[in-house]
Amino acid sequence: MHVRYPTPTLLLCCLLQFVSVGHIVAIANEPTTRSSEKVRAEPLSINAYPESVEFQYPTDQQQILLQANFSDGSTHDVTSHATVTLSDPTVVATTESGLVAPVGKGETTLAFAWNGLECKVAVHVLGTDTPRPLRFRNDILPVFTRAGCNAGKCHGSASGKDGFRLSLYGFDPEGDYFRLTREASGRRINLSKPDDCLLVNKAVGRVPHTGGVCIQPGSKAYRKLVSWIALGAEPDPAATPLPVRIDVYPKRSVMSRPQQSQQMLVLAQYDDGTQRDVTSLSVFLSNNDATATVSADGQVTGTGPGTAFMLARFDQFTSGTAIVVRSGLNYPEPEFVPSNYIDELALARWRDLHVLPSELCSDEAFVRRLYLDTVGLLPTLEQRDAFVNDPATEKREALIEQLTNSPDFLEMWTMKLAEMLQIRRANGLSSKGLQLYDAWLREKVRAGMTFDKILLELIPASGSTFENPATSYYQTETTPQLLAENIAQAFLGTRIQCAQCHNHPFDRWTMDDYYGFAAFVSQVGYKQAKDPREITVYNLGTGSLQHPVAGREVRPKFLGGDVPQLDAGSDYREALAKWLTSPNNTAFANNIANVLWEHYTGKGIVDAVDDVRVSNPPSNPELLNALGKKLVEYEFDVRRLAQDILNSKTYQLETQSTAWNEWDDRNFSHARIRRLRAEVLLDCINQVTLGKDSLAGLPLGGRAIQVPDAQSNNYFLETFGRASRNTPCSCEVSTSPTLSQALHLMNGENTSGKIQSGGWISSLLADGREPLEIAESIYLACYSRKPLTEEREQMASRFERSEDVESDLSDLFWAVLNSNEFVFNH
Amino acid sequence: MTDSNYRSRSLATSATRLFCAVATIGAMMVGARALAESPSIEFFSPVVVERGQEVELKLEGAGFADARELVFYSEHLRCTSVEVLSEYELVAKVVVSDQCQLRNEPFRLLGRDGFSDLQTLRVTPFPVVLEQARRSREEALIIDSTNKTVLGTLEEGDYDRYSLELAAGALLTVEVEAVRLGSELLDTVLSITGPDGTVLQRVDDNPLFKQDPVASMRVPKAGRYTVELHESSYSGGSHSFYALHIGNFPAPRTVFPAGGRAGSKLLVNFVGGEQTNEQTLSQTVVLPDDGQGFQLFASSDAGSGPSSIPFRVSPFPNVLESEPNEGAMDRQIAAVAPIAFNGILQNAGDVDRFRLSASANENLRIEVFAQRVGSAADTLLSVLDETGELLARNDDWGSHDSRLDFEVPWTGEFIVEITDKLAAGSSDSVYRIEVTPVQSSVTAFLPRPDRLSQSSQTLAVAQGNRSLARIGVRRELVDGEAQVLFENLPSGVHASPVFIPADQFWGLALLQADESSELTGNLASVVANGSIGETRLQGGFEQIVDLVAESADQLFIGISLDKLPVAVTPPIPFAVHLDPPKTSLPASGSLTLRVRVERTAEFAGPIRVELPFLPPWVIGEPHIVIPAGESEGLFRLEAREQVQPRVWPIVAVASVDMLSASDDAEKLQALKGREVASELVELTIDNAPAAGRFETMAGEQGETLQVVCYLSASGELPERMTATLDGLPNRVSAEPIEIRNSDKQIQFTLQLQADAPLGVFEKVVCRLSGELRGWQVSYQVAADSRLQINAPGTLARGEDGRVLSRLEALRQKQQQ
Repeated sequence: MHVRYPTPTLLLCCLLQFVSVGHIVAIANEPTTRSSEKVRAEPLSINAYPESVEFQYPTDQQQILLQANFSDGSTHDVTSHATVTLSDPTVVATTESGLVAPVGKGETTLAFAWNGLECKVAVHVLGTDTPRPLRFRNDILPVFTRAGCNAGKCHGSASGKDGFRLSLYGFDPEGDYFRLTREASGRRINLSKPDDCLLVNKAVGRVPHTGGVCIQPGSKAYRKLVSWIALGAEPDPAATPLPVRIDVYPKRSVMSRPQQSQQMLVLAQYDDGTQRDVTSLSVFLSNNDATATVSADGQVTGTGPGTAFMLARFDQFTSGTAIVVRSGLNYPEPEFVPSNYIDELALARWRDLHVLPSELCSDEAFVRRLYLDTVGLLPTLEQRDAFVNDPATEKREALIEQLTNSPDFLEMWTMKLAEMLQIRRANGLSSKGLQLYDAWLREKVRAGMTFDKILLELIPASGSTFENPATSYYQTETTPQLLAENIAQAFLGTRIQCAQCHNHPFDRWTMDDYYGFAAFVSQVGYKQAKDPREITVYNLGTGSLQHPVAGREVRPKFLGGDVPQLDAGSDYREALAKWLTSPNNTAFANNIANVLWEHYTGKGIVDAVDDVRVSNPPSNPELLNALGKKLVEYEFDVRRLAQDILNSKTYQLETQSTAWNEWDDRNFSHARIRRLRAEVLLDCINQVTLGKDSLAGLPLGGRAIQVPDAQSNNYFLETFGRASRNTPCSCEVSTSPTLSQALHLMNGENTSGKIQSGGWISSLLADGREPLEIAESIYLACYSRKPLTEEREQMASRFERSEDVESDLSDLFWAVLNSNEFVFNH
Repeated sequence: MTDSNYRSRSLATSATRLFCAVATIGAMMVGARALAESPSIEFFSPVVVERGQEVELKLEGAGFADARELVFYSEHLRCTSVEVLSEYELVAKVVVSDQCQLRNEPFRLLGRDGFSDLQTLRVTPFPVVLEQARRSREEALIIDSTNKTVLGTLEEGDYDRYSLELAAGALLTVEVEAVRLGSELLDTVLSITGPDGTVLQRVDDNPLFKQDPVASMRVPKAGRYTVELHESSYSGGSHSFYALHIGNFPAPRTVFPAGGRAGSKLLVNFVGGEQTNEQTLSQTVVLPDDGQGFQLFASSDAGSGPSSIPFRVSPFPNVLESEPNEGAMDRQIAAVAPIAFNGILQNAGDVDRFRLSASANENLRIEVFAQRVGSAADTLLSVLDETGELLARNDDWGSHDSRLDFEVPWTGEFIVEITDKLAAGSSDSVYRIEVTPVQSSVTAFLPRPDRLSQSSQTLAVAQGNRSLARIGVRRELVDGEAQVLFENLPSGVHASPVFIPADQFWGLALLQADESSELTGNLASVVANGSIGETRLQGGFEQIVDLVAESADQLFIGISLDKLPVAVTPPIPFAVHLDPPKTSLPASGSLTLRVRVERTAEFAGPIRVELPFLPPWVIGEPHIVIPAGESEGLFRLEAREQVQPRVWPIVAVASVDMLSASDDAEKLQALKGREVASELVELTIDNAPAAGRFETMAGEQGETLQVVCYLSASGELPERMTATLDGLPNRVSAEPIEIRNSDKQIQFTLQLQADAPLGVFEKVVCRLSGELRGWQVSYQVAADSRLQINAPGTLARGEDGRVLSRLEALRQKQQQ
């Protein structure tokens, strides 16, 4: 087929046009004050953390935090500014930094006062004179963790380092104790020379150590380690209390400007009911240094406007504190009138952050955005005109209602679900098996079955892959581990892969959690079915998983939940499906809501949507929970939740940012410019060019969003980042621009070839339409807007001296298809 | 010669007679055509023909130039003429008798150089209508509602639509044949749409016809109905043919019982089809005395359908299940083998049990027929004792049907239990359990070099020459030697019986065609004979031909044939002879065989000769080439020490060597791929006739060593032999020594050069070569002997000059 390329003049014209597309380029405007400046915030209260203290041993200490709350919602660490009054100074002593230590026995109260505000902390010192005994797990292992010895890049790597291996972040205390005291013929420690043994000498750098000096001689950690060895490096007695969780304080901190600071406090709760200040034994990390950093001792310092999460890790537990750092500008009251609960919660967040939202987008932008998001197509000329010219005040709501009730809405949703279920050719899944699997899902969605009901059929599915295609889920992955990982990631938005080999370093998942969850799918049996391409999946009724560290059989345990009572021989998967899709399982509902939110806004409230973890908290937890609750209220009807989102002003904001929100890319204060995903882009090209593709598994002219096999050969879809569905990871869908994409659009048959084979321009010319009129149609079809005056003038000039109008129009069409304004949703 | 199970039955053909035949064919080489390969059929149409009609088949493929006829395996189809249109196209007229069975009928095209691969032609009872061109893909072809077979093609992205006007309550039946046509894996999906556009039925796979859908319904109201067909993944191609049987014939899903006693009158119930509400269509059938070829059809006023229902005709009676039969068995009377239990796993979790009375040590085969008779059940078969204790169980055997060989542990009653593997149940889950004494059998077949291929499944022999075939036997409960005989070979073709030893499953067959034999082909019969003790047993021939497969593990359609195609092809201008060896091949020894070729005067090309089937642990050159102008070549065979003494048949196979025939390559194309065989000759493998042992061989660089090999003979050796040392490292040499077979030791002089490599070399061997009864033979003795080379002055020796071991050297050093 002959392919024509645009003339340089028109190409230049198009390039100029790109520059003029102001509304898809974020330009920061000057901040404006919309209302009178607020008065300075007033302190309202102070809180002390912890609220009470109980000392078991005379050697213990406790850090007290004092946080002041201001009228504008900000907080301030006033620990070192407050005065303290002791009701009984013979019981405890305090320092200026808020450190409290026992000096006697009995009970007392600490009364703190700052700026006229007061709070109290009750202190109880128990009657023991013996110092806290040193225990390996509670005292020594944290030394290694804090010094970084058992980090993944050091001795915590799977094969250790330089012949010495520790479990990653201490997930296997017994193993670590063995390796320190027994492995290598016990030469790592020397009980007779505690401060001159290999372990200590390496740690302090007295002998060559690849990791350098990790513990300073004479430091508290050094003394603790040497003392433990000197005391015989005994194993922990059976009665040693074990930590069951940690609490991190303060729970939340809102800094009114950068450079403010806030101390963190970590309290460990033990299984004997006691608690201990383990701040000095914990590891701290910030997930966003651009907003706030944290020191090794837990001192947080704001660095710029935004949100950050401060992670604290102790023993096998991970928790943290959300930090908000405001810009420090005088914040005017937003003139944003919420239209539903989404807007209210978004607004609350903006207020919290001192962010102002952008303006609402135009009708032209809205109609294009809505069509692309809901049905994956552009509005036709007629659809676009009907909407834009409609004088009705509630026309946006009406269009949302119409599109979310269209069959194409379900096709888009099916594509998302197919990605979560990883419908693809894998592990011998035949073309026919795949086709049936896809058709099964499509029919369920078309019939109105909600995702929870679909999973209730899919997860316990038994039978042959042809007769009950839902069983193909167990063919795309076949090991309990992978199945469990996929279920957790796709349906709960949680990545538990790390916990297969060690406790999750940035989340709460342990190996017990991992194998307990995988045990639900440990009794899946496989058998060759009647057709050679088919297998039968059934419940074996026997079998179990073994814990790789302890070697014991693992009982099924819900992720983050209980160990259910299951009858022998019963299908564990049924219990899993019921728990997973239960309305009480907020993780499931929130995850589906988040997936939907991400689809319409381009960013998840938890981002990425399948990376829910302690150290990656939602940007707006209240909004996420509200969406999840609504989804449950709607009985998982995604149409209704989609309507809520689409009807919110938050969705309908402009993409253009302002000085009040230009730094914000997580709180939805302006819409995101999103490149169309591969399937939608191909469908749109076919739509506007009247082209038809022969796509694998579909009749001629089928839509790309319906392609069943994510691994079928299609250069366009692969180049533009179609998900291969090899994993349930949301990252598989790539909307990042690449040079290959640009070259393919410029040179590939999908633009020039389809413009010609589709014959739209020639048919318009045959109908007697004027070139400028046709050019306007191209603009309307592709951009949903008319050409700007400048663009119109340039085109008119070109057409006036044109020798081949059809050729020039084709060139224009080609250039439009190659423009960012076409390729992006905005 | 040692004892052997092999008995030579070599052909008595004299070389002289054969050469005379070869000498007469020179003129036939003139004007040789393109490739001398048997014809291959790429596709043909129509793929379905109506019974009782004469049809014209158009075939496309290659090698059609001298095609002679289509050879059908059934006597009810006959090729009346073949018109060759080109090397790649021909038209054949075929008469289909009105007695022809309704099924796929296998056939091959017989060409000048042999038979083609196998194709199947479907015979239908209905008039055949060809799919016509449509203006657009969306357009439906309008057809009437009478029974007919529509032939169509599904191309990539295609969906075919047929539209027909029906009265309210009319029966509409559609049965698709695509995969079953045996051409390709065209897996179709069928749907029926009502006048208002509602999809009334969408059918994909089914237990009866597997990937080929079938639908039957009484239409709810008058109007135009649309039948749509597409490939399940919308793939296809220009040769993706299907047959759409459409009309108002009954199309049951299954039948109960699924078998009956030969010669009896039996009431059967057809389930499904027209009786969509689970009613049954009952029919009384008379089963033939001989069950061979029996086909069961459901019949109604509208006639019967195009496809038979799988049905077993057996020489023993039926027991029909009587529910409830999963618990107490008191009501049942114990049956005695041979017997067939018949039932349906009606409901989910259904368990059916039958009582069986058997005697201790009886060897019973309990075999389920379910999937193989179109049942939906995936059976699990168990044998229990009277208390319900499990004695034996089987899930699958060859298919998803279960099978057990049950050696009865005591005389008494047992329970045969059948369930569905997935505890499913339905009216389609029919089963039949045949309980019979395990039968002995012996069956001949052609071993296939490749799975899922039709290569080497036909035989061809050139006029006046010989060809070689490997023939296999499958034995069940048969031991001892098997014998294979060929019958009904083409006129002038002879084959001696093939004797296959008890420990082998195949043997070599030589087919020889007389010089005067006619250029033709036959479907020959093959008889396999075996024995159980003194009892003789006879079996036939069974060749499974793979027709449709997706991968090596995925065979969809195959066909079982009981005849062996043998064709006589034009002469080949050379013959090959393998001279019988006059001595045995000893273990760790070698033997040189001589092959001779005879050429016609007009042929002078190079000939490639190979010995394709050497005994285990015997190796030789893969092939040799006897150049133009020469008539002899030598094969040097070597026997590893693992060989077992035995007599083996060996044969030489010759063909034109195209690689070295550059000058005549074009001319010789007609002979490419054609092979002739020598006579079968016996090769005796024997134990080594001599053994040897070296004294310690050790020396220093630059030294001259005297080493002795001690010989002991246990068999016949040449009187004079040359002894050489093999396996010496570089820069170490020893002159050959001439010896007599009475010598007990051989003294070699080893020259170790000054730069000879240092170390211990463990592959030194003494080779004895000589001539025994005119044949070159050689033997290895003292294999894996060690030669140690040290630097000057470092080798420890005792006072007697003997080289000391390391321990002795250390002791000596300590003493010093």
